[in-house]
Amino acid sequence: MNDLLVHLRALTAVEHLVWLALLAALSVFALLTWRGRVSGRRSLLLIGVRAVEGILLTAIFFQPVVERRVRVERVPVAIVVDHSESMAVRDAGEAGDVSRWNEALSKLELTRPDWERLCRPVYYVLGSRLKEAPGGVLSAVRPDGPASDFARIGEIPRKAPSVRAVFFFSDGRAGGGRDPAAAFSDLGIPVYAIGVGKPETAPDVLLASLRAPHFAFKNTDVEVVVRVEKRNITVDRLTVQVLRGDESVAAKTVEFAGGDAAETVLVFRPDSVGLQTYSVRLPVYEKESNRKNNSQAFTLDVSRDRVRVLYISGQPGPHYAFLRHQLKTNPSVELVSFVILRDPEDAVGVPDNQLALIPFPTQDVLVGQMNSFDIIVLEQFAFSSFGLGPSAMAALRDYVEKGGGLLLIGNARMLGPAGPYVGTPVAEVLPFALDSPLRAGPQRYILESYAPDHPLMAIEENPEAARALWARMPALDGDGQFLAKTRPGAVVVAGCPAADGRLPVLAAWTRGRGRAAMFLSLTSWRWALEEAGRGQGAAGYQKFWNNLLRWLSASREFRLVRLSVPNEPVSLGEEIFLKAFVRDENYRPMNSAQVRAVITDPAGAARQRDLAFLGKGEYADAFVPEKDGLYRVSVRAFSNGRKLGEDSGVVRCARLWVENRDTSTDFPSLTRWASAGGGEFVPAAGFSSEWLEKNVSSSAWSFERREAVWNAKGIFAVLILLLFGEWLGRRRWGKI
Amino acid sequence: MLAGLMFFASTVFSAEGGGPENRFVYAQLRWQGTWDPYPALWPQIGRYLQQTTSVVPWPERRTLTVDDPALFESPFLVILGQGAVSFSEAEKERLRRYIIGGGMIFLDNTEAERNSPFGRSAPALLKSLFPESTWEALPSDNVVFRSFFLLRGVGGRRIAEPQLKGLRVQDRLAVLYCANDLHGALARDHLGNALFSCEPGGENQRYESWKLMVNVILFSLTGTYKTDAIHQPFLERKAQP
Repeated sequence: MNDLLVHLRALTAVEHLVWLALLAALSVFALLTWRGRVSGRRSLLLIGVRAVEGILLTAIFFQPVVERRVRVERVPVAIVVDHSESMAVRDAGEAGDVSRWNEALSKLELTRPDWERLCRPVYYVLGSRLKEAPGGVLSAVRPDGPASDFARIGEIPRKAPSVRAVFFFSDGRAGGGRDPAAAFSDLGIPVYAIGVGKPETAPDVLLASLRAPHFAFKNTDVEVVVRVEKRNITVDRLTVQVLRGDESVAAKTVEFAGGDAAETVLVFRPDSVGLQTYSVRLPVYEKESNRKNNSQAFTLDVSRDRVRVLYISGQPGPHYAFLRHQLKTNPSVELVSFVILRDPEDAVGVPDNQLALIPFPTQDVLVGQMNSFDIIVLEQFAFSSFGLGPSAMAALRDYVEKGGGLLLIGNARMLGPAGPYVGTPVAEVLPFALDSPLRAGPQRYILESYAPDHPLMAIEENPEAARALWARMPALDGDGQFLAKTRPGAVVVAGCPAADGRLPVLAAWTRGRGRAAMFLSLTSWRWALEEAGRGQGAAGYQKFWNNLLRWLSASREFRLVRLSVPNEPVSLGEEIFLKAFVRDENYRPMNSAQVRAVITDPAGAARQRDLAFLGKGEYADAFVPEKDGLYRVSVRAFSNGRKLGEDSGVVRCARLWVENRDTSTDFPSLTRWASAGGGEFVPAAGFSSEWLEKNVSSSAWSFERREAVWNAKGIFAVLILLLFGEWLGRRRWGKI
Repeated sequence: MLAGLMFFASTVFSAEGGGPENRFVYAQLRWQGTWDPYPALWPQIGRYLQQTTSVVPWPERRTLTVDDPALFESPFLVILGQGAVSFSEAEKERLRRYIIGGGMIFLDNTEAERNSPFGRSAPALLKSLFPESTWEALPSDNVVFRSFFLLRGVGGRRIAEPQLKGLRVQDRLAVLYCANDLHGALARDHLGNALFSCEPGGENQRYESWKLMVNVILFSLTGTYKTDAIHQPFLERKAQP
């Protein structure tokens, strides 16, 4: 069957007005130029010429197109079925009801003979991607796609160029982020949308949003902000719970107070350290269309609430006064402090009950509870005078090697070759060579940074600013005696210049799993008081000691190897990027390290990967998670076979359902998109063989020739000739 | 007994090489009034301090003006004397910075009268540096009374006020005020005799004054140390009559 069709350009309202104005102008022009009467034949000739001119001008304006079309038997069409998770919703919320997905399959099955009779269908399923379902076998497909990206329908002409129409089963709930209307209008073939599900809002109670921190401290309040919404369901109040496993750690009743949304804050305190998984859960109501959005999990990396510091000073002095105040007022420090107020040789001359002194708890605290502290600070402490012998020093050495942080503060008399620490087991983990001879140096000096990249010296955010601040910091003082040597491998962080070289004052290193540092000065309090005198405040002093504490406690940001992984949950199938930052002992970027990651999936299977060097101490790799759950990642960095450090992290992988928040059908959007695609929308209830036949028929024509007759050069030539002829005739007949 | 102890201490109170480093420096402010009624007193205090405690005092008293750069090298500053105390705005700003930076001031009214010129001016001047702070009378269980000796009250040459007062700055007891001429109770002549009698408590009051002086110095060096939890059971047991 063949047809010839003429199409005229559809005019807009403005063009209609333009056209009317043009007609009026032409009529006026015709009247104005009609001078006197001419003979009948000539008059007829002129009228005829002007009529032809008018027809030609009209043709140019309306741009007529002549088409010849051929009817195609069994036209190829694409049948697309949305398989995002919202299609699993049972709108009535009762167990016996069919899901939207099953409704779509049922309609397809019922009309399968019609499809086969009228057209040659190609089947697709649509989620975040468009996939062909060969032979229309959809029974193996589940409505579990993460989101419907309807704009993907625009890929059909590329995948199946012969397809002449798209029939699209969906609930209209989109999650692709792109507006499908633009894609549909560019498609060039009509798109027909068949809406499954019920048009009214699906009854639902949902956890609309959850805000929880990624990091927390043990025994410190964690706030979880939860927004709850309800749709088309009668619920006045409900109880929100935070659970760890099956144990409820916080619960709160939320009142909707006449609205459909409510926000609440739940507070709980983690009572243990490490990576923990919690969930926020809402009650599930019988009529709910979607029960998956009633809970959401989150992970929390719980650290110790505060750094436990044991600070023992052998002598009350300004150093103890200032440092104790600094530690005591630092909310991240739990301080246990002892200062020796009376030496054994001191004679008080008053009864014991008039003294506010307690016996120094040597065994209880320093030995018995040593491992309960993150950092031990010994300041000018002659341990041997208080019943502490080599066994206590051996315990202190073991404490460092097992992961503790040890700081010795004192002058060279206490910590040098004549002091009590020489030759003791703890000397093995100290960064200075205690038995090295003393060297004379200045009694007053400004501390110089010898490892400017070391975090201990980062008393300003900007390295340049830190350098400038160190240069103007008040001088330290002492008796002019210095320990000459540090141990091989120790980092001399700072010191003072001397005629014959540098004299180390602050040295640090890692030993075993722990860290040890020595600071051979008792006058850092000058940085606080003298800087205050200059109107600068004590920020430099405070920052220095905070840095020292954080470094000694192996605070994460001060590790030589740091792993960076995504904090937010990652969707299955998406790449996870790992990045490791590697520094040497002086905290300079390490560019020649071998960095290896061990990735353990939720089932416990581990695999190794080497990270590629990116530059400036950064190494990276990526992997694609395939299982739902927690992936644990640990990285280790090596240099010439020597381990530099390690770090670990965790990535939560989940099926991210972006349509989860609102699973109601969206038929108005389907209508708009279908219209943009030149098709139409019909709800599933109105979908029938007749409707299908009508729309398939309208798509069953093949346009074989299409000519824009108005655009022919001959028309313009004829128009110009007619205008010229009319002008010539009028001139000859004396009408111009 | 006290005289014997002080004689013994005098044999060991001496300076070592180098600067003060971490030793306790007794700094006293020179101001425009009678700022130094007891110029020979510090060595006696220093000896007693060294003999009874583990504090290592710097043997020389450091006297300085507010403008002296050494002010900010002296974490403990005594202001005592007779007469009205006043400072210029620049000097007051330096004193304010000194306290904010961690310095501690001990005001001792050697006039030992509640409404004496020193008693009216010095506390008011220090208060004016920190308008948001107020003088508070320190109860007998305040850490100042427990920093070394367990004390139940205040001492001094003449008890003009029964309590010490304190000015808290940034949550730190940064200024102490004694209205009772604490230094006068300790002062002795060259022969070791007390310069003044102590009223109304006599020699017992003088002894308590020595102990209070030590406590004030220890408080400047240890802060709230004696409020730490580990001390509490011991101190409560000892404090019971």
